[in-house]
Amino acid sequence: MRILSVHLTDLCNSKCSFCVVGSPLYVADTIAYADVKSFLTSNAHTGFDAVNLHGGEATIHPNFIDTLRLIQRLGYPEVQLQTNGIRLADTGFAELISSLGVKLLIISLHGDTPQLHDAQTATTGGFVRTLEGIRNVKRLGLRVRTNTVITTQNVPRLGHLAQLAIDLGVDHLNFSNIHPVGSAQFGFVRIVPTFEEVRKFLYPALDLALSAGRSVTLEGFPYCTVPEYINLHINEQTREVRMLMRGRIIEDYDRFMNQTCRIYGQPCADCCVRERCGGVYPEYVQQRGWNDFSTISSAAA
Amino acid sequence: MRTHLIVALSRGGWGEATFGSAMGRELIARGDDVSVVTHERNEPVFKGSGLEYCTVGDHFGKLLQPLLQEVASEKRATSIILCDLLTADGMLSRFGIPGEILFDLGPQVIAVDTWENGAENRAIDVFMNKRLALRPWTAKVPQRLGPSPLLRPECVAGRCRFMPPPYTTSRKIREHIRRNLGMTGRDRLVMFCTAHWQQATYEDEHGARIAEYFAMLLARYLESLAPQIHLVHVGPSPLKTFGRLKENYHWLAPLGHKFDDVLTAADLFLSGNLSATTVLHAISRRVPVLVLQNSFSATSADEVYTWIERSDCLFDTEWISKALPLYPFRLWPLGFYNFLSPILVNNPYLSAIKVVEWLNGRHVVDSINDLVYCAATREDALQNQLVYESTVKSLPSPAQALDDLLASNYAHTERTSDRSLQQ
Repeated sequence: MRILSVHLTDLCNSKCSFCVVGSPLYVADTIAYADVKSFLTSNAHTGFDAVNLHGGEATIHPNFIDTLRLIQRLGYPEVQLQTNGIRLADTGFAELISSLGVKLLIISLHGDTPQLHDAQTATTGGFVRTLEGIRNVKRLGLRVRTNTVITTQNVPRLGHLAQLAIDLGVDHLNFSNIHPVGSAQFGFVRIVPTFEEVRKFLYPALDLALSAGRSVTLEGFPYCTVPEYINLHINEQTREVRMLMRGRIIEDYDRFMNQTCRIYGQPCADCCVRERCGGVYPEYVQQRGWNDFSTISSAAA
Repeated sequence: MRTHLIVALSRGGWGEATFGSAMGRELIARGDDVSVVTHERNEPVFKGSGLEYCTVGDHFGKLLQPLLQEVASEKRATSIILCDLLTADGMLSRFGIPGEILFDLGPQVIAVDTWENGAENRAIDVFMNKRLALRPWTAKVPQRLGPSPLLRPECVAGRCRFMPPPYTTSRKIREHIRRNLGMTGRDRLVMFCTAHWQQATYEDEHGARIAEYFAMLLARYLESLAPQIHLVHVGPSPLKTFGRLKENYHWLAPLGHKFDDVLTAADLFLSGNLSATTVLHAISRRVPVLVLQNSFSATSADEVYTWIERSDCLFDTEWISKALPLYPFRLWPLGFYNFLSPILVNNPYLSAIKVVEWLNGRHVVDSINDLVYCAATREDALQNQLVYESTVKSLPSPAQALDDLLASNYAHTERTSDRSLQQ
């Protein structure tokens, strides 16, 4: 799948403790909207299967609806929207974006209770609205993928969270390893679980979602940290992502992440899935060293 | 249009690179051309600065010489600005390059003389009884820029201001950072920064000991504070001894442009380096500053007690027996105590910060509590910073001071050549 990916805004109406782009650290947007329009226009009719809009929170951008109209006018087959889902609680808003070509919603779900979700997003009332948003878009027949960033706070509740997503009719559950940059760098010790803790609770959640017939993916995990589920790693999917990020065009986002945001260490030297895996976030290694990582032999892979 | 080659070779801290970057950007803004040669560790300072730069690593050795020649020649540099003289001499010496080669490159050589070393070449006290001296070539650099701070804000040739540009952080950002550190409304945040050179493994047994044991002592002081006080430590790696603070210790790798956001989220800036650039940032951002120093040489605990009341010393017998012998330092753990003394006389810099003796545990703890919790003390500290900063800001900028130096040199050259003609 070829995806044109647009970072529409730095700003967000949530203040997640693990925000990778550090939205809560911005008071003004750095995005030039003219760049967005130009990027969308120049890539139209060049074979992209979808436009992925993200931020920040794309739905709060003053030109968000105009952007959807532009994308529709330019003939892109579909829009994928990464969102916290808060605005989707407004039925009229959900219907409008559906009519403007949004077909897949990638919705952040970081807890199975208001207390857990809202504590991490620092947004009172967010959980209730996000759930209402998921119900709204499911009623409209849109596809929903939840994205859950695994933290020390939500890791024991991953099974409950998976069950909630299943009950809501979510099509696809994605679990993300925290990338300890942006906001997350300030709370590393408090919010980043060890991989041992993660495995203990993630595996039953994965089994639950798979047995319920849902699609499941893992994002940002070094393969050796969840070796039993290598086939679920998002890197295993074939995709091509061209991204506009703060005025800079990243030709191949996955390669960019692997080459500039991850590193290899001693355990990776003879690992047979080294290239597919992409490596380890250096910020994790700075804090906890290499002991959590190991070499995967060809037999295990 | 002038072309300047800025040389920032320090590999231990970002202070001189920060000065070079600020000066370079100012020169570019007014239409000059600037190229930078810097140590690779300074890359985060120059990356995204808009300045053209190339980096050198420790492996460069004598290759630095042709590199400087090439850049100076290719860019047709009219001046070479060393920031600073001490570290430039240190790196050239390490690479086996005589400093005199700089004069043969053609452009006028100007040095940032951070410590007002002048031509007298004062010896620098380092560790226990060691002395460091600049090589003789440095005395032949007549044109010197003197950044204030640390130097007094006086009206003398080359003296220039070195305060960070204004920066404000929103309350929302400060609260987000504090919340992410796990702090609640009643908690207080102390920030402590270390440079590479402060966490280096020194071959000098005394340096290694003082580095280890004074960090340990500071950790003990911090441990004795109220549990609402958190420490955020920004440095190249965590200090193991601070692990005793448990969840109240937050180590962060160097923060780049987010440094000021975290700094302004802090209630107090604590430093073991009287001349740190981070201290200047804290002054400029109106964060109270507490600097720890040691003024005492001692070979026994009894000697220490002649200086500080025994009841004020919060160390135990085991600690002092292992920490001895002690040497004085203003730049922990290097020393620089006596070296800095002349430039601290009547220096209003000392009014913008509070300096306490590292060994006087009672005073350190009381000062932290006072600066963190007492509204009147904090207000006084902030007022003093404001007054100090406004004094410094009346000085010329680095580029203006450079202009004055170049103009005076031009006039001097003209007069000399006139005299030659008359003869």
